[in-house]
Amino acid sequence: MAGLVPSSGKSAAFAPARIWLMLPSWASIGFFLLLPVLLMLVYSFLTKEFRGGVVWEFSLSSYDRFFLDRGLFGDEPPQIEWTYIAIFWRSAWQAGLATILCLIVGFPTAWFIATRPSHTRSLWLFLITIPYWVNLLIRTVSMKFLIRDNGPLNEWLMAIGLIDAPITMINTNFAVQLGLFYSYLPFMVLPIYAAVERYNFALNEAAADLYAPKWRVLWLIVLPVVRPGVIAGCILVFVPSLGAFLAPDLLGGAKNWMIGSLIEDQFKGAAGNWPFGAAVAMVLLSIVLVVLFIYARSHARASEQ
Amino acid sequence: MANLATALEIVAVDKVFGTGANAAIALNKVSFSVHDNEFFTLLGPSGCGKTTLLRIMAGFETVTDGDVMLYGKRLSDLPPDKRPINTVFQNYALFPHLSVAENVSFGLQMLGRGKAETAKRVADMLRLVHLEAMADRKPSQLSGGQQQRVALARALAPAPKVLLLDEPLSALDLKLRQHMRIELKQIQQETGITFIFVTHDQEEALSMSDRIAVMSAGQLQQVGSAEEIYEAPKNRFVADFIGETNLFDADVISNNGSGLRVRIAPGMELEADGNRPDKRETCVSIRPERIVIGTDETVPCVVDKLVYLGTDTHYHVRLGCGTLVVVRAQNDQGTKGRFAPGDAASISVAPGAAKVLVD
Repeated sequence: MAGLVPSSGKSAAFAPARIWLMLPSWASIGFFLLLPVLLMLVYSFLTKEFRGGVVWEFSLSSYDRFFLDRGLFGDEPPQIEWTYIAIFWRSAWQAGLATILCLIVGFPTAWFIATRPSHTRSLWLFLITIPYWVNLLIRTVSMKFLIRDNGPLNEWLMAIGLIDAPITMINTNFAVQLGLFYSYLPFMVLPIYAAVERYNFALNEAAADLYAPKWRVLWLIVLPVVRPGVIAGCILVFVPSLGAFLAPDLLGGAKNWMIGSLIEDQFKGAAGNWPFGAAVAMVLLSIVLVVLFIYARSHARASEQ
Repeated sequence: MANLATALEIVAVDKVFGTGANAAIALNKVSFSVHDNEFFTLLGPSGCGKTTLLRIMAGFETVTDGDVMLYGKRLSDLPPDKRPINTVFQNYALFPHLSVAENVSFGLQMLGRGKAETAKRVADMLRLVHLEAMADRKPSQLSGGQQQRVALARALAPAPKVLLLDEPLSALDLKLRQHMRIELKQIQQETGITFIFVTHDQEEALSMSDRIAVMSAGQLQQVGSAEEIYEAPKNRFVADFIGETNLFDADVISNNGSGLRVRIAPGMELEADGNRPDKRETCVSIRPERIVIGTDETVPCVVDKLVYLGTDTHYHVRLGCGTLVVVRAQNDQGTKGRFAPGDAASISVAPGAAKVLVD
């Protein structure tokens, strides 16, 4: 998250020792983050090789395919291609909804943990992390079993008489949403916990002392003060949800694709199209960067005031 | 000066934290009244219950038994946001995301005051604490002393019936603290608001207060003006806690109605103010500055050690029977260095200096 926090603009001369100390992190960021992204950027402008891989020949066809519809044989006048935009749109609202649900559940959870006595706090945090000792794929597959038509969830609902026939949950947007919400909830809880734990509860007394009823204390004092933690949590849930592919693949089926599924499909097996997959990834990356840039700008302006 | 109408009344307040074996008594049958327009101080060592009492007045704690009355109205059932009382918190508790002006206007906005009225009041308050130029700063951009003034302006802005101050000067350095004492007193007189000030610093209490309530171990020890508390302490705790004193276990020789004749050491008999009927022994307090050290052989003693303090010198002298007495002599010309450790000297007690104490 360090990149999101605007620096104060102090560009003091780096001491040589500091350069050496920072070299390992810069080197690993450059090699494992920047280099792959650059590689993808280059690939997105290359030509598809039929059995996967690329031909080193410059081409705009991947971006053309993403944005424009030229008919089945590519000879019709270009129109806007809605297929991929629709997938992006579905991803955006699924990720947005997951963020909102994680916030609604995560905020009270984080608040609860942060306000426990200090010796029980670490136990609660530990409990939060337990499900994450198991691989995400395994957890997503288990959820698939839980919510299928003749799975335990439907059986219980029928047993207590809430429903008469199984509800189809698998392969719906609901299932995808459930998967995203479950996968990324701790990423909401932990940053909010960190913010609430630092929160000075004397501020609540000060606000009450100055005639603020409870809900106004929450709205005018608590939320603004812990806002950085809330925003960090929202970014940490929204960004990976946007590119998620396990939940939509396993729980959503072919009708409920998200961007992650689309990209994954382009790189998987012989049917793939690497340049197109790279181009989709670049479009996704651009959207995320624009969102983060807008946030960083507004944050910088807010802290200047 | 304070007039004598009662602003706030504490009626037999008990406060117990915890239950059963873990129960801790924080306040034990505390009762007193604070007058209108008064600068009233709760003074006591840490853990004496003064902050608990303040939090009860503000509404952050409930009483176990007893009542808090504000101008004759019961406060005990009102939550903090319904009490016309504001607090200056020990560590200020300024809202970090709001500017100085927004902090000061917060209470007025919660009370639903108009924009023009609020703006004028905020400007007035910032002028009162000399922070007009800082209105748009964030609390983090202010020094400790400036934050303290913002906290004061914020609490004064809604014109509370009573202002509570919880050790507000303890985080400031000495020079600033001394300056703020004078300023706080001045602001209290200017605004005419009743101040209830909590501190463990006796100098702070003596220099600012109209009246002081001395507390210890959850109990009220004495209420009175600074002079009364210093000159006529009621009991051993008050005499010992406020300023320095010599405490003697004295034998009562005779009782003349208004005072006692007591023997504080073999060969040292004197008249002490106060009365304790039917007691053959009593505790007597004599302030070090009311004892004169000389060479006239009234009560002979030997100088044990001396502590030079600039304006005056403390002589620790030992009487014939071994009792140690502290004498404070002002360092006007000629007295400095008059006695050295080991010198023979004598002491005499000023008339009216000895006070009879209740244990």
